[in-house]
Amino acid sequence: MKRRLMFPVFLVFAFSGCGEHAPVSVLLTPKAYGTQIVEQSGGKQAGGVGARLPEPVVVQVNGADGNSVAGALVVFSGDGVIFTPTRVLTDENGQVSATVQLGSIHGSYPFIAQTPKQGGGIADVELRGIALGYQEKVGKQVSDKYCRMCHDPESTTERVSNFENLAQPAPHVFSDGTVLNSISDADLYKIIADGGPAVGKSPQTPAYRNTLASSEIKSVIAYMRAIADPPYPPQTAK
Amino acid sequence: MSTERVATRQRETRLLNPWHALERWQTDIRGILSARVLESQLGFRKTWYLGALTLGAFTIQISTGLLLMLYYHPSIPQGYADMKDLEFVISSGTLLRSLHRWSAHAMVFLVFVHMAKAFYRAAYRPPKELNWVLGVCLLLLTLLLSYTGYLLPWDQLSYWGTTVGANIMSSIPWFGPKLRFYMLGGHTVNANALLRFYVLHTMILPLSMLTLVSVHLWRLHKDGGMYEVDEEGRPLLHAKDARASGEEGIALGKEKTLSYSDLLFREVTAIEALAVVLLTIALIWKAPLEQLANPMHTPNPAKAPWYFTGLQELLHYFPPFVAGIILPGMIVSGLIFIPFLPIFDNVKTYQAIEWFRGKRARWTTGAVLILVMSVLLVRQHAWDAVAPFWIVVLLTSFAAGYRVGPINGFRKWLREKPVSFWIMTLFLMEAVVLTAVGTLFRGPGWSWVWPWRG
Amino acid sequence: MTAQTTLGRVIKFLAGSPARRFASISVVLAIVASIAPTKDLFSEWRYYQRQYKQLIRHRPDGARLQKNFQGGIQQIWIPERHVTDRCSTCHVALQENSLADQRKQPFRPHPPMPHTLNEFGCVICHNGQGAATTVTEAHYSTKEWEQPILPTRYLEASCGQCHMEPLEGTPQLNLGRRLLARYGCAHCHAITQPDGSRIMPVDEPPSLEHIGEKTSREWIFSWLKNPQVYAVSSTMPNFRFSDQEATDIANFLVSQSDASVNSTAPAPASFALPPAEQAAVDGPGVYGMLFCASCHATQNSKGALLGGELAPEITRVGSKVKVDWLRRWLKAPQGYDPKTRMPRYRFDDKQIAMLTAYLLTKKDEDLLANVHLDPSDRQSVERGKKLATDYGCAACHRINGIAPPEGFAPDLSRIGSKPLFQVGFLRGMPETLPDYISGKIRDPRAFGPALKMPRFTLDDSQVEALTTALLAQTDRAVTMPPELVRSVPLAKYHPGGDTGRLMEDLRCQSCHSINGNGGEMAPDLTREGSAVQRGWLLDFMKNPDTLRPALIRRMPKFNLSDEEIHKLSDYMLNAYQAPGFDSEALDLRSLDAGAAARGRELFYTKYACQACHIADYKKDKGYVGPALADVGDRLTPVWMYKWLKDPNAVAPGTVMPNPRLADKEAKDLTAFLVTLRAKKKGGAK
Repeated sequence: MKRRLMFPVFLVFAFSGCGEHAPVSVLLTPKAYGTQIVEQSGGKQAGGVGARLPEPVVVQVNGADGNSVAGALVVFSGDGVIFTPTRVLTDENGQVSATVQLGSIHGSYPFIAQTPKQGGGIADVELRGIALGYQEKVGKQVSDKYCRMCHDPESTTERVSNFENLAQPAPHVFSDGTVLNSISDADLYKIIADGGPAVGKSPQTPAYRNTLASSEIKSVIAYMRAIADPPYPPQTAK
Repeated sequence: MSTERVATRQRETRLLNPWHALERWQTDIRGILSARVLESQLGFRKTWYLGALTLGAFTIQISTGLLLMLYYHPSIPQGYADMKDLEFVISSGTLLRSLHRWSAHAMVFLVFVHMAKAFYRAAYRPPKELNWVLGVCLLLLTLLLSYTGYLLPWDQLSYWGTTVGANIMSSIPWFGPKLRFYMLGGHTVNANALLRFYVLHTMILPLSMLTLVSVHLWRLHKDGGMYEVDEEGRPLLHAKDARASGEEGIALGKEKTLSYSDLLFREVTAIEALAVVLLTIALIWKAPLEQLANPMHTPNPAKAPWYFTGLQELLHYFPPFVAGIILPGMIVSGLIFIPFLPIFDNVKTYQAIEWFRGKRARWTTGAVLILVMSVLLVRQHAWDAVAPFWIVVLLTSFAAGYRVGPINGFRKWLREKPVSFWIMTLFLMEAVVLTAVGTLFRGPGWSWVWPWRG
Repeated sequence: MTAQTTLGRVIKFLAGSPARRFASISVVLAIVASIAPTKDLFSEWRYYQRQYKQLIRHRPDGARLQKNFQGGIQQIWIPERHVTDRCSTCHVALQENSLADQRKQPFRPHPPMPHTLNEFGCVICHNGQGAATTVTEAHYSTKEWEQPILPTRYLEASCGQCHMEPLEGTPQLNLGRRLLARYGCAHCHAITQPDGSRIMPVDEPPSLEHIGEKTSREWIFSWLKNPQVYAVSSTMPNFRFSDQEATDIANFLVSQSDASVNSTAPAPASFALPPAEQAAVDGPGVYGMLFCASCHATQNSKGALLGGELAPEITRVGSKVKVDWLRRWLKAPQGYDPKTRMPRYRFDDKQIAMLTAYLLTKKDEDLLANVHLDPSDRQSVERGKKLATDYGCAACHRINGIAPPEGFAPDLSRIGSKPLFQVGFLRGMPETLPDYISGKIRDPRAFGPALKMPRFTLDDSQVEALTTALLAQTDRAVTMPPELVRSVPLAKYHPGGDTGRLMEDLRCQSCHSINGNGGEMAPDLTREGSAVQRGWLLDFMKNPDTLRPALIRRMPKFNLSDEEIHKLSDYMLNAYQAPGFDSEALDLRSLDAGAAARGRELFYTKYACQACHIADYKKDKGYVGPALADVGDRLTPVWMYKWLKDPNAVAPGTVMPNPRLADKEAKDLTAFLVTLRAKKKGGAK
């Protein structure tokens, strides 16, 4: 029934020429080969579940001399991840960029970008997308509002970081798994709720018990765990 | 032992033995089934068992309907939720619903074919003219039953089908809107309408149907079973009926008492076959159930149930006065009055072609046909409604054209047909064509579409 | 004997007599009738429940899971919300958190969520058909149930059915709703939210009634052809007009233009504009000092936008405006457009001349280089008027001779429940509502060349956000019990009296919110009278300086007269008082030197306030909160005390954490803060 409605529209298309239609997808063949593939940007992003990651993933193929290789084939693959495009040749800078859409279950989505090497063999680079569920999204919002000013050293014109202005010990970046993974959920909760001194740390972290709801504090922890790099081991979640 | 005691004893024995009662019943049942059915009438070819099949479909309707009543609440939106429960939770609920739905369609179809068959076998002729009228009433009742049942699931399909049907009704001038109001219990299809339709569908109409069917069968029995004609088209009457009706009839010598097992077996077998077919269909295809009725979202096109799409198609072409009252009125009254208008039906005198040979009759008929067809075609662009006219014109010309060639075979057969034959054929073809076009070939805005494009 | 003849014989035997026919057909009937109950045994949900039992059998927590498991059809039934969700029939482990490692559906537990299963069931958020017990019927769009499962990336739409207020967990929905207002969708489309409020556009497109005074036909032409060439941040969509159409509309707009109040006012004092070279050198200073960039953005050489989004981008303004118009505009913007958000600055002639000359240097020579229009004629103007009417220009802009059309575009209040049979999908696109809506936003004309909706410049995430916001406009949202629908009250506060008129003239509410009405860029002034001290307020209005060094958007200097400043200050100090901020709340005598010393200790050691605040420019660097170096001059002690006790109660939503200070600590800290006076300020930047 819907298609019938489209009939006139279809006619318009039919008579306006068929040139617009994309050609049937042809399997790409590499024009050049590299020996190494490296991440340029977007390899550890977090986005909403089922959503496109905010930035495209950019990888670069390098040759044996360390220079970038144009026309090398890059193939993205990963469980539950949709890439646009999946197979693509590198541009003149030896780079390709692909938008990444993650699956609809929250958690970490490892994926790889591969390039065939001359004479067989494959070079690959492991990347990761993090799908934030409801709780982690709330955590991100809370953390952006209350925590990021001090815990994220990067400044923009719109947002100047307070990281540099603080006394030692410096705050930990939330994605810094090497430190944060070793602190238990209970301790993190205590730090956020009652401030640094509650566990014998710096008083520069104020107490948020009376400002944030308990669910919000837990969300921040969940967000921290989700973006942890190296990943927070889920086995020890219990 | 005194005779008195023996008699009492005997009475007691008879009273105490249920088999005796059953035997009595059996004898009576033998009496109910015509003992005078001819052996030649037993075969499939004579009747196609259409009457029995219709009755069979009705039986299936009653049994599945009773089961469905156990689950259904005639309220909004619970009625719809009950449909979902039937589909997803209740064991064999889907089957029950599908069987009820498909068997309803089958019943409408069978009644229609039964009527056509009865007509072509001239079963409306005396002494069964009133039974024919009864049959027409049963057709209308069947349509009403089906239409009232259509609303009960309360999904988009049923809601809008009913709305369209009610709008067709209200297009009758003067009293149409009033009629619609009484039928729906309000100005729109709502909870009142649902309740009314429910009561009609589960109480009033089935009970009327049962009563009329009983009368129908009783008269069939009394009027001597099926209608037969001899080679010259004269009715074959049983001696008794011939005497009673005072008409010229042939006393049948081959009258025969018939073991009821013969007819009953065959007809029950046919009914079982129907049940098998319907069950299979119901197992494979689910009865449609769309979204919960939403008065805000009119589907395009909003279609009446299929047996009314012919009417809807007419309404598309003609003003409501014509399509809503004149044409249906003509059809129903035509059906009712056919047995009583010998001008259309005396086999001897009114063979159509002979009648058509008269110059005045020819010109009148020709002029009327051309007028009707040009109005249909030029003014209304109703070429689908014109098609049957063309076929009839072609066939009559073919039959009447005596200079064209030898008159034999099909041509001879055609020439012997009375006027009523042609009128009925035209009506049936119109019904088939309009219904088919309305159901299959109409899309958004009632525009023409090809069904395979959907 | 072949099989066929055997079969033939069998059939012949079975159909041999009426009795045999009856017997065989009865057998067939019995067989067919028994298929249906058998089918029930092999239903999908029984299959999944068997799988689940197998899955938990070998797990260490199997015994507990087995105990929790209930076989048979499960349902969540909430009659008052029309919920009959049987999802848990197959999704048996929704509440078994120990199965979190299970990545395969349908046995995953539900991740943490703001509501409980028994409160709302599944379908209110996830869509799909809750009553169904088969995979296809429950999840996908069928004729029988058109609403398939909502893709997770649009899931926030479901929150928007009840929540009109922006929630923390729904950034995408919040963005979408802001975009709906910001891109002026609601000018053409009526969008009534479930609480009955309408989405109101906030973009305020300029009036075109006097456009001829402001700019040229050529600029209008180039703008119409592609607004983003002139200003990348423009929300004006691209209507894809042909050259002829754009010329016609430009001709019409110029011809309908009449004289504004400004043009009939006496000509501004004759003064010479400084030469362009001088303007290029000295202009930025004036521009910066006046904080134009608080509202107006400009593109830098790298193409990045710098500045606020409250007002139009002015990167290429020199190519657009006429000199005379610009001078008069800077003098009195409301004389050209009474509804503009631009305040009336009290510039002196020299500032106007410099600013005008400087803005005129902001030119893009390429913009109009290739635009050569034929002279305007009557027919062209007529055609232009027809086009402007047809394309609904007056829905957004005020235009002489064209009334704003009513209901110009389809009502989108229930778009999230639009039945699929009413949707004309494009060939090859997935036939779902989210795909239709996003496709329509992305490229409206793809759905029919005759459609009028223009193409907006939106990126993918913005399209997704808009789609989410529109998907929240469902039928279900309207039928929700009213107590569930959280609406945001609409405030319409405007200050009254002479001072009110002055505040309107300065457009205070373009940036400041007062009693819930106004902009978000600057602090809320609702309780300003309780917060600040008179002396500081007078100084600040004379020479505004930001309290937060990290901000690039600052309060501009209006060159207010002393009389105006006193008027404003008195009004604010008297009218914008909060209850409970009075002399009884705090005994000033307790703020002695000892308290101040204790407060100092608390400030620097126990609470490490210097992490975020600057009490002493020499020592402290905290950048998050406002600088407190002169807070003793600025804020009233009562305000400081109350604020320290519970910041959220004073300014809901503030970032300042509530340390739950004891009375004494709060008083000590207040005493310390009171000692921070401007005279102590040294070594400031």
